[in-house]
Amino acid sequence: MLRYIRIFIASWRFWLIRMLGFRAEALLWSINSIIWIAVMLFAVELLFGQVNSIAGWTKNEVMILVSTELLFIRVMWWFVFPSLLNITGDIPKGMVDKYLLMPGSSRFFVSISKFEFDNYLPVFVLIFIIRQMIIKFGGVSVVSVVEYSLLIVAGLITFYCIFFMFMTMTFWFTRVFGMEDLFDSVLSIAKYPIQIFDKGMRFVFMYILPVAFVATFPVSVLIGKAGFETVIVGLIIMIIFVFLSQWFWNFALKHYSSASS
Amino acid sequence: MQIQLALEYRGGVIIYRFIHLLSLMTIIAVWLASSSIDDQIGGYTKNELVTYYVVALALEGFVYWYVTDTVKEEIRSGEMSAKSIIKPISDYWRHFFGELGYHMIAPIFTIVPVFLLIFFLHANIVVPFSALAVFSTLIASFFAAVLYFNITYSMGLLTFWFEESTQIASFVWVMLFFFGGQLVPISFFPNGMREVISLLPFRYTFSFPLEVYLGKVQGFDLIYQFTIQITWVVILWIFTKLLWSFGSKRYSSFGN
Repeated sequence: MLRYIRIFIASWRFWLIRMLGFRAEALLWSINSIIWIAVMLFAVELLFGQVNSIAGWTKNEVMILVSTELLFIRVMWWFVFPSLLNITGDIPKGMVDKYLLMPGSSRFFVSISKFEFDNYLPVFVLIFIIRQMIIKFGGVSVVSVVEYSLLIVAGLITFYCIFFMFMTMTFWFTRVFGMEDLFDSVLSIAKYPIQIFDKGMRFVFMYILPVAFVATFPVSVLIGKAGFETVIVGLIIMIIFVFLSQWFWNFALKHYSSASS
Repeated sequence: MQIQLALEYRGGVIIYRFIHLLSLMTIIAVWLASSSIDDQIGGYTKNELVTYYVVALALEGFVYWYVTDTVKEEIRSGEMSAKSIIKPISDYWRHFFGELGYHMIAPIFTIVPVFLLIFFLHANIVVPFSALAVFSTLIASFFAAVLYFNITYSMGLLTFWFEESTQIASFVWVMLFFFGGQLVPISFFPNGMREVISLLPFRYTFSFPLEVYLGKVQGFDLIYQFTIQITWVVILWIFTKLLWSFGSKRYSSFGN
């Protein structure tokens, strides 16, 4: 375990130093992301210029919801997506062997192969924005904030597993282009309260493709629309996806035929 | 060749289209679930808004070009010299016709999701009121596609000056997305902003054909906005010519 942590930190340092090598580029990307955040929040402002509420959610609530979704996406782009996209590029070239030959869990090495540190600034800005919004919203207890954070972490792990499974599918399709658009499109469903969907779709988005745990449920817990049981459900779903994705990875590796072997 | 390439990776394209459909369903569900101040939301009825996004999906396949990356890669790798600079052909038209193949196939991938949406939402879909509206929509969409090409092609050409033109490209992309009316219709913006947006090129790549379809732009206003759209097509076409003539000289002088 300690060895894995050391490797994780080493990979982390490598990509941090690399980012510092391209400082201007990283800064431009950060500014771009921040403009994007501003645009999305301004869109909510415009939306509520025309409507009173969306599926029972008020403007301030939707603002926290959208910010949470944006934060979720930025963290995914920092820690998860770069590695997954890295390997989708390796599969058609038959270069996955390098991960399989490493002394340790192949899944671990695949998952830490790349980090994008230019997401640091947008993440920081979003946390600040959410903090201000919570203060403005008022009446939020420390326990709620802890539950909110816990659900977000559970959601991040769940979606790491789901996208890991998507990525694993490249073993069969060999080439799936637009993978990054796919990631963003799936998570963009989370931008609005899950209550906008009818019962059937709501079930899908709660348990099968649980986008409800990206923002709707964390924010519901935060503002008192849902209780602790939601956190428990979120954790159970996370555990199921962790096992499911591990099983799928092992299954896929049996089918992997590389270019060389 | 582009058609072959798209068909070869059809698995990816189809999955992508369906996932994209999911995110579109979200915005449609928002309109159906929102409670408005009165019957109208930003000058649209709920059904018109639903139609706006369904037609938008059909339009995307027609309007979008992926030429920025192609041009960028050709310039960076040095292929541009062999492919265009030393040849007596226009680089603009080479890229235009080169991607036209993909452009003709792209709407096919969009047809299935569009029909699915129409199937589920047929009660909410508004059909255009006249043959003239259909005709004007087609013309507006055609110019929108050319305008979008001019914008994305010039972003690619910026690579002559900037090693990493991607950031500038993604900034312009945000403008296209936001001021183009892809996120929310232009009528949601405050008055002053709306007037500025109507003079910028972005709106004419996307929201203009949609508003023509929904009959929001009519009569003299239609002619006026068509004039702005075509003016931008010409201005940006001249802009691409300028970028090309200055850029390619600079490029050759580097010894490529």
